Amino acid sequence: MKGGGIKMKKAGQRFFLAVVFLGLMAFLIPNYSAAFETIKLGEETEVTFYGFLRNNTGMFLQNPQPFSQSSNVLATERTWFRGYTDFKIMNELRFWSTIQFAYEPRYKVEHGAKTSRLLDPDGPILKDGKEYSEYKDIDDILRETYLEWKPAKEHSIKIGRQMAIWGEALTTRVGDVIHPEDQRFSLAFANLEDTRIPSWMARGVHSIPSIDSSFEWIVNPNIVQDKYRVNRLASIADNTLEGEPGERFGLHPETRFDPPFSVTNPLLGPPFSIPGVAVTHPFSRDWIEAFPGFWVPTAIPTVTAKYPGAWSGTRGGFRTNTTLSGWNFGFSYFHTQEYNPVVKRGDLTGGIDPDTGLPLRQYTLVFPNKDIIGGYLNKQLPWPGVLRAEVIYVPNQPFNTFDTRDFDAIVRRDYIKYMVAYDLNSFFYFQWHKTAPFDVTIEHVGEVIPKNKNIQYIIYSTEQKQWNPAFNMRISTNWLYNLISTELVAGYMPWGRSGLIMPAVKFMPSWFNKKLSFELKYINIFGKNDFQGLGILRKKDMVLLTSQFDW
Amino acid sequence: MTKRTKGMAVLFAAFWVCCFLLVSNSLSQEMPKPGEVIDKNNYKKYAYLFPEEILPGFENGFGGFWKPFVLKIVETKPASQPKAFLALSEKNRGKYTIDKDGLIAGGYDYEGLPFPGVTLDDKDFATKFMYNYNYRYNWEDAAGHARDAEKRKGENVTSIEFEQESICFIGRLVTPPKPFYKNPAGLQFAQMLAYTDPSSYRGQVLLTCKYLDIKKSDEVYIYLPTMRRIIRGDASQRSTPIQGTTNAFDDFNGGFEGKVEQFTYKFLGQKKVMGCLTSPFNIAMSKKLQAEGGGALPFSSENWEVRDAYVIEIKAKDPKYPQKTKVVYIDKDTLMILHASATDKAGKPWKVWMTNYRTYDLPNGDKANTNVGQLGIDVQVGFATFFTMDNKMVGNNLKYADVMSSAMSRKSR
Repeated sequence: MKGGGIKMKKAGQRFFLAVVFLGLMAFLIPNYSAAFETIKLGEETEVTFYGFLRNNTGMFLQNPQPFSQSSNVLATERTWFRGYTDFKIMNELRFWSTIQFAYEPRYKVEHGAKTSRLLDPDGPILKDGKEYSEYKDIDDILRETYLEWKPAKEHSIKIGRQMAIWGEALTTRVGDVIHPEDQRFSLAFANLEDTRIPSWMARGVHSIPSIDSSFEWIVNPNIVQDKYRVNRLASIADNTLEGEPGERFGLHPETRFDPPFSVTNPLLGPPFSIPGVAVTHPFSRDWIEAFPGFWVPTAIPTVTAKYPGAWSGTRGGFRTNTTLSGWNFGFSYFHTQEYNPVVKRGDLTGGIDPDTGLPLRQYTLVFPNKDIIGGYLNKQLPWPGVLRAEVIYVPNQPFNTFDTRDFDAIVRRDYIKYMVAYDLNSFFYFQWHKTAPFDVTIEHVGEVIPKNKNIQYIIYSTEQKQWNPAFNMRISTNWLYNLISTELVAGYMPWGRSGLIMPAVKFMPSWFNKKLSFELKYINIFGKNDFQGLGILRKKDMVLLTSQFDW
Repeated sequence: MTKRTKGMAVLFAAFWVCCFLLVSNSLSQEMPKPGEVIDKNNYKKYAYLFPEEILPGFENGFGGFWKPFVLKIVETKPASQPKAFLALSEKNRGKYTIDKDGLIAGGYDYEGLPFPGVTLDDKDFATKFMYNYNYRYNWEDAAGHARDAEKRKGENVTSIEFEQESICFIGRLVTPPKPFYKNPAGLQFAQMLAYTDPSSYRGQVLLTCKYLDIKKSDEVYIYLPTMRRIIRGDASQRSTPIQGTTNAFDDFNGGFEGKVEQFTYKFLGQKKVMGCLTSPFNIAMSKKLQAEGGGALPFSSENWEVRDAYVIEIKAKDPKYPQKTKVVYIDKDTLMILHASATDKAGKPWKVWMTNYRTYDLPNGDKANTNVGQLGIDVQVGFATFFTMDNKMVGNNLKYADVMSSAMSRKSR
């Protein structure tokens, strides 16, 4: 009874706080002008508060979702509250902060899934929605907070938690390498901004007008909890005894029996394995064919993660920017770690698994150091259109290898990713649609691994392509002077004949001075199988309604 | 009477009726007196002082976008480009010509008007006059706030606010370096707009650069806070509406801010029109009038005077250009556009602009004018705006570093 009373009390508090909050919002927000006028505190001093309240409601269109716990189709029900504080202390000094609270419920479709601590058998089971809600952890709530010092017009130095975005690509990430991503609550390609995990850093931008150039530098120690130092990934349907489903945005599991790179024992079935879900490489190396058609493990994996060190894993780099004869270009260098885990196979620990009596083998999720060298350019062409291009070269990109001669299953290879884009804005402008042109962007993105033999594609028993091209396109326009905006994003990757189609329509009425908007988006991911290209997400088609109130 | 005689009589009568009508019309062209008000009740009497396209504003505020226009008349006062600038221009008198491509021939050094004293009997008058317009004294640097009140037919008035900073690198009179601010990019003009309201727009920054080399394409950079990146825009965006407004960059500064050589010009005549060069309008008034307007856009009624204007028809050389023709009414003395209108590619009336200016003092004792309010309406779609600027003109200490693309992120977050 006491416990119930406490629950009631907490629920009541939440309800009360929600009512107070909504009441304050309604009271404070005028309906025709700025939500909160800039507050002048002195000749040079002023502070502005603004932000948004946003809800994403998404429904899966495939029912049931593969490897899900139920046939519930709720894909996402995420509500954000974000507040920005822009405090200009004086012309030379400014304070900026972004706070964020997010709420997501417990999803029936992933009931019983592990948390996103990938492959961590000791990770807690999702049970109360706290996995995605952000309200108590300072690393979630304090999204940005920095001091900016501008000793002169040409110089700006920001110190604090912030985001720095590099690169030219609009539909994907190429040179945008600084921040890890939170891929648990959304498909990252559908929300490039909000999935970024901000970092504590010192960052300077120095303009050099005499040569029309600027120089930017970043020093980025990992002084956040370890899980915020790398990509936060949605868990994949697991083959452990519990038979756990994956999280909503987890990749498709490996379901092929392709020994020695993906193994299972179809004869045993549950509870020894989820039907159709295989043990993936390099864990599969500990399985042998005891009898024809009968595969058994010889060791049980014990998995730990070794995150980059707070200071020893300090990231940093620089970027230049120069404008010359209409060309805008620059070079970049960034020292960081691989943000997706690479599985390092270790020795037998000497321990014994109490359930099976088999020896334990150490596997470690590691995030090895790497260096990213980049270049980019853009140019207004002599004919209509803008050329954008960028390339990154990673000389020591870590990969898992299928080559069993390599004991720890990790190799380093050269890796190149590039993008070439052509933007045709305002070129397609028609008499029947005078209020705006159709803007068209075509991006070609390619990944090259010159020595791709035995290089594993994520968790799958699939070898990476030596050249993996993709073609993305975006067409957008608005109607009746921004009352309605429409957009179509499409991408195609020949590998796995996979790609995506994302049409969206956004409605921004004049109510509350355009503070309110609604966007309806359809996300379709296609592919010929679940193990190549974008096909790894192909069964997650959804419709997504984003309602936002900017205050 | 024979049929022939009757015919002659009818023609004779018709001739005299026409003469009478013309004379009576001419006689009726009396000028409004200071203190008088032009409004719905008497605008027809002074209709000849306005482009035809603006008259619906007096009748019903273009169908309810504004309250019916009310113009308070003041005495016409002398106004001109700054005297020091005109003096600077004198060295160019008779020095340059227009070549077959419509460009200035003779090595114009961007100091002063290229064609001071150009007269109507010059065969290239319209083009030379528009080059004078292009290289008029603009300002040296300007910084301040701007507000665009907008209304879609049948909806509420909304608004966008932003901060603007701009530098003119040529024709500088008082702020060193002068008269030419040498810069590595070879810019003539650059302007940065940083949106501040509504919050859904806040943080967007727009940088436009216009080069001295007239053959060089303009450049546009856009900073989107949601992407936190500076994106190279397409300079041809100068002809398409800026997000949420009826105006393209080419429509700025009263109705025309295009690249001179990309258009052809035809002199249509001289005309007395109502203009406003001493408007007291500002953002505070814009907000106040909007709040009191009962759903109507703000409008500046104060300080309208009779001005002498040249009427120029502008056509783009690019056949894809969205406007077939634009007609501008440019004040002969100040080179400011008082009225403008444009047709769509089919030749149907499309956009109308009417602009208010204020006069400000330069530190050297000269006077100059700057845009403080621009009315714009898309009469086809039914979307109207009233743009207001509160700028500090000259003395803002703006440097080239302020309009480099790397400065954009410093304006945002």
